[in-house]
Amino acid sequence: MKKLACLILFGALSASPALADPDPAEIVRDAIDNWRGTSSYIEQTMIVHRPEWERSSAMVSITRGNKDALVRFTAPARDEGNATLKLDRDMWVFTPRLNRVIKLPASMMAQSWMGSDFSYDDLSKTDALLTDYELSIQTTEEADGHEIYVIEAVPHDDAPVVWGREVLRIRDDSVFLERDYYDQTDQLVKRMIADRIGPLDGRPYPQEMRMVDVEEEDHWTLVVTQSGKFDVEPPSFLFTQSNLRNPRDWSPR
Amino acid sequence: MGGLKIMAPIAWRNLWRRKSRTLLTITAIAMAVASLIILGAFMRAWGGSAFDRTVEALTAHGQIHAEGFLDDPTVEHAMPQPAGVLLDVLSGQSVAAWTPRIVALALIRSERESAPIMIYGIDPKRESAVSFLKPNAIDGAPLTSATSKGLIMGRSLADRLQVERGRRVVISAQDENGDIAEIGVRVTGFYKGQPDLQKYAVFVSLKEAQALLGLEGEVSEIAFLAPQRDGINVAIEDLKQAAPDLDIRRWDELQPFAKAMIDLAEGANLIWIFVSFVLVAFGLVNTLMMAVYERMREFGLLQALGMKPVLLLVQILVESVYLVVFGALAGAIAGAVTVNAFSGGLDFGHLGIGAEMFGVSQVLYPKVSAAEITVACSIVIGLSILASLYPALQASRRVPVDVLTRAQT
Repeated sequence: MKKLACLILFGALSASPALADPDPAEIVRDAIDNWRGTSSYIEQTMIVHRPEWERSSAMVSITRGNKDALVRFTAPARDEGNATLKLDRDMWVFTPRLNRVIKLPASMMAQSWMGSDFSYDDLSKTDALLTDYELSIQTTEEADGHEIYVIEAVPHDDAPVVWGREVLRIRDDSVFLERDYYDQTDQLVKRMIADRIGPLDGRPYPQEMRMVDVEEEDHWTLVVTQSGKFDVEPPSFLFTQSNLRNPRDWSPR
Repeated sequence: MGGLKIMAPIAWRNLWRRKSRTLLTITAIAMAVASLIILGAFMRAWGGSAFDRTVEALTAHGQIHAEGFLDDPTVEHAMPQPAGVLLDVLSGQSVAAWTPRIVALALIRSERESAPIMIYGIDPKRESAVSFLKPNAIDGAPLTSATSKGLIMGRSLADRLQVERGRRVVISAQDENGDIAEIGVRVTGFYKGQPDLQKYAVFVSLKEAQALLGLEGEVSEIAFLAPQRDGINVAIEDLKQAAPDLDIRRWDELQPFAKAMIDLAEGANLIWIFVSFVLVAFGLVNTLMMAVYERMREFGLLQALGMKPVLLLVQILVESVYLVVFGALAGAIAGAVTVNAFSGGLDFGHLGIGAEMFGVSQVLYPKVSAAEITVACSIVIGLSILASLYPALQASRRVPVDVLTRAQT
């Protein structure tokens, strides 16, 4: 009897770390999937804030799989029609005023997207977290009845990443709460925070995401999600250069 | 000839009748010769330095590219690594050293900044025999082999990107398929000097650049040095014969601007040397003329005593030959000694970057050239004899009574 108890106790001890030690890569992948679904149709407002001014524009973004995306601005009139198409690692932008599709050269990928605090790379390289980084769970925190995983992401030595490390906070229901970008001297450079989390098409979703430029006071970009649908199976004509130039109307049923 | 025999010792004694005047004239001539030699040597060092700087700033004596690369330096215009006949010529007599390179336009990125650059994939051992990129030109850890990891950049680019040694930067470029290729590399060192290159030239190992761009076994550029500057054309001829379908150019075709600068500098040197020659010549003529005019009364007396005008002319000429030969010898020795004293290098370090902006290194190495000494001496000797001819003729033509009565000294 004593022997059995010992065995059970021993078994519980050895099993429990395995339970409490989820795979960080899996957590990150789940969070990315939760954010994007296998495909998605999302209507958002982007507010770019600077000390002297603030600008807000509306956009629709459609994603397919984890590689393809189309973002089209719908308001204000000045921005309307501006669109960005991403297919795998290539990106194109369309500006109605120039009536031109431009393929983004490598030199522009690090630049700001539509004047916001997001770079083209921030948009196009979400999956890099899974390929270019060494992920490890630092701690877990408790908040609002949720468990929050604090994951440190350290880029591989020859990865094309300028950051020294990144710290991710992901809730146990796969919601991205925060992503901090540290430079190689461990100074915080920019930070992406979920300001408000709410349900979207039946799943918990960061409805307000704010990208903050930590080094410039009062510089941030807020993306507010109004509505959205996941797993919408967008038709493939959406993700073509001709549709980028001459958009065909499409929205999920 | 008999006249010369008599006049030579008389002229010699005459020289030392007024030591101070003779010494003054000799000093003047010596100074002229010495200044010409010193000036020439420094100007030559300056011009040579500008050439050396162009050569070591990656240009070398010449470069080989695939046809079309110079107009459009992209990965499509790569060529296979040298082999066969071309390799034979490169490792033969007419080429002293050569180095393969990958050259591509790229973008470098740090946490806060990005900049357009030219990325060079190099074989460090070969490169150090051809260009400035030698281990001692690098602060930090130089690349050690054609496969080593790490990146060498200029300090001014590092300042712009706000990176230090040991930091990772991201290089992106267009690879063979037109896609964006990216790699993270750690900065292992900074190269010194080369203010122009500092802003854009970044070095990684050949292997790393080939892997990034998908150019395994290919290179974009071969830079070579001929054994000497005057062997460049021979090397180029040999290479052109070995590789008729490659684009082989001499340094001055690759760097026409540098060539123009060097030509201009050398042209300016010639003008400068000419001007100083004229100045020196006038000074010399003046001294000699005064020396002869001072002695008009003496010449008149000699003529009155029955000396033939021709002999008088010979006497004055022999005197000036003595003067200028001694002067020129002394000057040549003084000049050579001065130049030699600086042959270890004349440091313009206090001018710093300023001197480098002119495409000249901070240290000049003037050298004595026998040809230059010969030219300087013969010009000064010739000029001086011509200069003394005029007063000598005058003296020999004067009517003795006239001279004796007029030249009251």
